[in-house]
Amino acid sequence: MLNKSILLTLLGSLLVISFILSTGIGALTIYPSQILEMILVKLELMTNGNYQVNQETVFWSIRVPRVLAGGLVGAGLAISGACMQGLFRNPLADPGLIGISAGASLTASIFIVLGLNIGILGYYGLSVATFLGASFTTWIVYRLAQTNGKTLVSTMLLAGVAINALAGACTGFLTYLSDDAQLRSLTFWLLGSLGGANWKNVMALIPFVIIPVLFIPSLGKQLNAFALGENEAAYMGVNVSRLKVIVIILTTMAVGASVAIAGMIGFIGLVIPHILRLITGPNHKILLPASMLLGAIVLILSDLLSRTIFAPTELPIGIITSLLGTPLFLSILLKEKRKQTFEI
Amino acid sequence: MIEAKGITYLSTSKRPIIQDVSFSAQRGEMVIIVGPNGAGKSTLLKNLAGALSPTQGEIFIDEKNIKDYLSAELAKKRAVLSQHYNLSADFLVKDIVMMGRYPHFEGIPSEQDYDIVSYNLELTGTKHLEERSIKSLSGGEQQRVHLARVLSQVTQNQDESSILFLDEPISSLDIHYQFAILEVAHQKSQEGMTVIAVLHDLNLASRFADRLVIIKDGKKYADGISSETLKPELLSDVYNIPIEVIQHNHDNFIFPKGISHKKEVLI
Repeated sequence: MLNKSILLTLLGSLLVISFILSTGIGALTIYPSQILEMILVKLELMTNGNYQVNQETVFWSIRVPRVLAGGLVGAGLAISGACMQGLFRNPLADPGLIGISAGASLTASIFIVLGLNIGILGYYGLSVATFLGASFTTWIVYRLAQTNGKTLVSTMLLAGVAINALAGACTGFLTYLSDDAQLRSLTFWLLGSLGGANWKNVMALIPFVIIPVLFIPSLGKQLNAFALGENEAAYMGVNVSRLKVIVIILTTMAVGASVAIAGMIGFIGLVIPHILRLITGPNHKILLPASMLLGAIVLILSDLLSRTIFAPTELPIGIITSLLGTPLFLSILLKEKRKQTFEI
Repeated sequence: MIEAKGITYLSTSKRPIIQDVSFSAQRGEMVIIVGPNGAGKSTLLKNLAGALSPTQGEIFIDEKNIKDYLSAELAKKRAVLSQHYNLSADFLVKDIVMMGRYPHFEGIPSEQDYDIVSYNLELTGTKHLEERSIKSLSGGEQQRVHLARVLSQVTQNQDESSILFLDEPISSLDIHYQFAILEVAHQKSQEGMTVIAVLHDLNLASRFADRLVIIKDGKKYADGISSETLKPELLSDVYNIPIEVIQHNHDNFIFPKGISHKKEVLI
């Protein structure tokens, strides 16, 4: 078990390194020293640096927003996954499982295929639609699981499975209806990509991820208590129904906004907390902030891979995260099976 | 101090589980609730502990209605040790016991919180297990760790009152651990804590209780010191089985003669 501050420092430094790598590597190489100079010039701590104008343009208007988007989406997905696994007392829970992502992708598909473009929303139309879809499905699943003012977690998981199937069928039907161009943009979207990231949508994403990311770590104690059971948590002074509502709102915010900007990116919410549990143990006080950092690192690096392996073509990032995530996850499962740490 | 006034609890299908039960327990008192399976003992305890709200009637803890307590505030007043725990994650023993202090600190635990955890680990004889993970322990050891946790939760200043609820805490333990748990609870009651336990074993109940409450069919059947409540006729009636009470060195021994025994008598 690693000490909390050591682990967080380590992950923090890794995040900085992935930022430098990911903003530096590409068709146009930018060296770390140049990155530092560009930042110093921007902060007006230096007057001019040793780099070319086109490097500066690529850095500030293409790479930085893209890496920021990757970091925010990864942080949001991973911390939401860790938080939901705690709340549902189930290591399989992730935002995909209770239907948040499926709902978001359904509304996005409707938006793309039916070519809806509501005038006022304009550029933000797709993001808003996705976010509404995420909120709406979460609300339905939550309502289905409510009995006598209590949320039945098992019912919620099952309702999520049903919603996933329904949304999947509708999305499938829409792909059948769509023409070639729409199909291409749908596919990219359903497999996830950070290719569309720019300053405008990154700025729109920031509040939706920053609020959960700042707030969720403070739920650490309550989620730890939840590991003993819902009743036990209540005996320990956790306001159980309030905690459920808070977790659902915060994760919907982060996941809905992430899906809106990057599409469906699988496995981050599931695998990142699992890896960290092996390193730090189940204590949420460490697990939550660490998940946030590692999620950001992994997504930034996956995006770097997705745009460099077959450059100049881009691979959807969801393919990379699932390809890397699946074997890792299976090996964790095997290890856990031997240890019998989880009771599913 | 806790007082329940005429509480009735209906199940979701409107079936009465508890009917018009009044009950009170003072500081320093160890009250044990006994009764047949399905009599409503655990439901009564859950009402008293605030996990369920009575359909009718009211419960007061230190003269304040239980409904008026915030959950964090109530957590400092009372703790509950359940029969068994199904943990979804494997924490270290010291982390589990520290969870008992959660209602008492924001952010990081204080020096006092660590002292209290350490004290209760000693008290329950689990200090040597503190670096082990909880799932690596036997059932009896785990239950002692949880006892240390709930005691840490209600460890207060001397003048503050607190209540410890035990919901069939020893049902699956061997006699060594049964005594290990109940002796600690008894000691805490002598130090001024109110202890309310649901037990199945009548002999252990009579041995540790300052007062026994017998519940049958959701109603209070008897309430008093063990010599008053542990009468053969009364117990035979409650459990629907012939029971003898034998005196030995001022202790009562409850001896169920068995259903088959009754048949033999009939033959």
